[in-house]
Amino acid sequence: MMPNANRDIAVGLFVFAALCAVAFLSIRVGGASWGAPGGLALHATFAEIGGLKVRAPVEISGVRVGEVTAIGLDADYQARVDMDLDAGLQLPVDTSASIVTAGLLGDQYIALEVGAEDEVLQPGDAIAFTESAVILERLIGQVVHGSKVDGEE
Amino acid sequence: MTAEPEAAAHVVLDDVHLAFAGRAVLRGVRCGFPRGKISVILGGSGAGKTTILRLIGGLVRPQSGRVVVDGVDVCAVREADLYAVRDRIGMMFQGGALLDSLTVFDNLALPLREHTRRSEGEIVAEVRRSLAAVGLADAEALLPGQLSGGMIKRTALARALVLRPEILLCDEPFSGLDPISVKRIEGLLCRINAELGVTMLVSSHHVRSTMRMADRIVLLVGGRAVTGTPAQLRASDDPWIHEFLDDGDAEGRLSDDGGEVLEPETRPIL
Amino acid sequence: MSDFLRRFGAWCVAFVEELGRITLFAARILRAVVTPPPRLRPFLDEIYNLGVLSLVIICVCGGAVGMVLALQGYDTLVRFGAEESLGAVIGLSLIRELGPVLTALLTTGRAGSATAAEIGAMVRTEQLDGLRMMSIDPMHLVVTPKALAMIAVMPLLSALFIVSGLAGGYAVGVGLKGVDAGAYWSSLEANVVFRDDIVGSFLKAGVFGVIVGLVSTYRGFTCTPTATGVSRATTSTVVVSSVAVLIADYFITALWGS
Repeated sequence: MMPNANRDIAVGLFVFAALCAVAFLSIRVGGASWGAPGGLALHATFAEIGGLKVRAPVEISGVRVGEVTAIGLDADYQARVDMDLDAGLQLPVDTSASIVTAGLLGDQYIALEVGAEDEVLQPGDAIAFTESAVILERLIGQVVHGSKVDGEE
Repeated sequence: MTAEPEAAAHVVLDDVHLAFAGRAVLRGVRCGFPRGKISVILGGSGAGKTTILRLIGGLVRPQSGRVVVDGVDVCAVREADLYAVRDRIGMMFQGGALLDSLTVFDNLALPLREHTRRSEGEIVAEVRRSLAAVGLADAEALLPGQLSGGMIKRTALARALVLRPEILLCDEPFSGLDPISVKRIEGLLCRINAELGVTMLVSSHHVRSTMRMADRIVLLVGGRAVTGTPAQLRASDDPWIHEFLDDGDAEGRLSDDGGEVLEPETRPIL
Repeated sequence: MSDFLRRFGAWCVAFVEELGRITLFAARILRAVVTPPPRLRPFLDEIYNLGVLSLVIICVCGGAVGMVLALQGYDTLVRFGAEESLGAVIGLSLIRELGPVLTALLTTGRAGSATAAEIGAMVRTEQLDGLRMMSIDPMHLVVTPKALAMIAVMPLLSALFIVSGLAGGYAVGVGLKGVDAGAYWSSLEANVVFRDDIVGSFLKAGVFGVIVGLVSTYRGFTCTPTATGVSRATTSTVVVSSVAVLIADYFITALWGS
């Protein structure tokens, strides 16, 4: 069992490379975080979230500032979406959140429209102004229904 | 044959029955091996010589009978307690059984590192001394795959002795060797017995060396043991014994590649 | 007919007995783990034998699988205009299934059979008996480091397989087929969930490591000490491990996902 220095180096490199791969997959790809690192946690209530998923991005003017951390139902059976945003963001209390689609058939994400008030949202606050997701089928149904109504008039 | 007094026996087999896969190998073997002497277990291939050594080492259990090593019945103890008995035994296997991933040096150092608290320097000195005693001082960095048959046997012998056992089991130490190597090993074994007083149990089908070195011979005949000194066996009037001893002098008859294949009781299903 | 039933019944009994023996074998390994002295040197040597020496096959196959996934995935996704999701498709396939399962199958073939052959050869040449006669437990010195190393190495190799696959997929999807690089990574990140996907992936790899480690050492340890016995132990290691890995894959997928 004489230790072979080259072998030991190889083992060390192998384990290191593998652990880097594990870390990459866990953190970059999987999004594991070290607990709550002081991000800005907000939540918003929507009547319809469409295809929004946990880990969907939250963007301001197209720039990613955070992600959706949890989706659930509140007492009124409205969808409550929790998000974790970059720490230090100063968002006025009249900021609005809408669920939009990337492209026609793409994934859904949350776009924040910054408001104008002086007061800013604190961690744990709710975003008051929300716009639910647009469901394509309902939109088409409205168009069809609308044209029928027009036709009847 | 004559019954030797068992009082000085270091190892005793008492009415041992052993069968492998339905084939009876030992049918009530009774024999004793005296302390401090060289005993040779003689017999043709398949007679059970290696089996007796494995029984003494606790590597195999008989269907019935007792195998008493220095007062301990090795058939009746648990595996954990067996290790305590094996501390007093050194075994030299027919194929050497050296760990082929370790050098000769590391093979000898392994038992020292495992069972003693000696410093690395002391271990190095001890291993070198052992290798020099068997004439392998230059071989310490070689791997077993690079050794000749005789060198493997000598390394195995050195390894078996490195912890100063009271009993040395040698399984066919002369098999596969040229006559000069045979004499060399024979000389080593006799010297070890003389200098260290180790009780030696040697299994062999090599009649000439046996008659030269044995203090006592245990002849395996039809699964039973016949015990005596070389002189007693020579003087016996049993024709079978003489046929055995005389034919064995012509080296061709009894020498073979030896080796008994032990069949396990369990078979894998896939 | 009754003869068939009788033999089938005997086979079932033998199967259960074998399962029992493997379980006892595993218990002996666990007992050896907690018994001093710690066999660090053999363990590290085995990490080299099982892990480092498998690197080439794992990374090459991982890259190849990723490239094929990119080709197939792109052709299908482009019909729905969803080729931007290629990263997610490749990533989820690799992370959830192909990474752990293919790594386990490849490792069984290379490292598992090597382990069974090594231990089997040591049985045949009486090396294990030699250890026993030196009062050294072969389970402790030889078997346990090999089994533990296999368990440790499997998730590591699986991670490298997945990363190689993602790289291969990137090379073909982005480099060859023209998928947007940013979309490749962002769709991957958006669709992979840490708890369900990543943790599940490494859990699978760990379980597969246990299976392959246990089967390969058991088969080697209990083989008939002849040359044919060793070779049968080697082939049966590959067969049994592969089947067990795939069956376990189903159960873990079903149970972990719910």
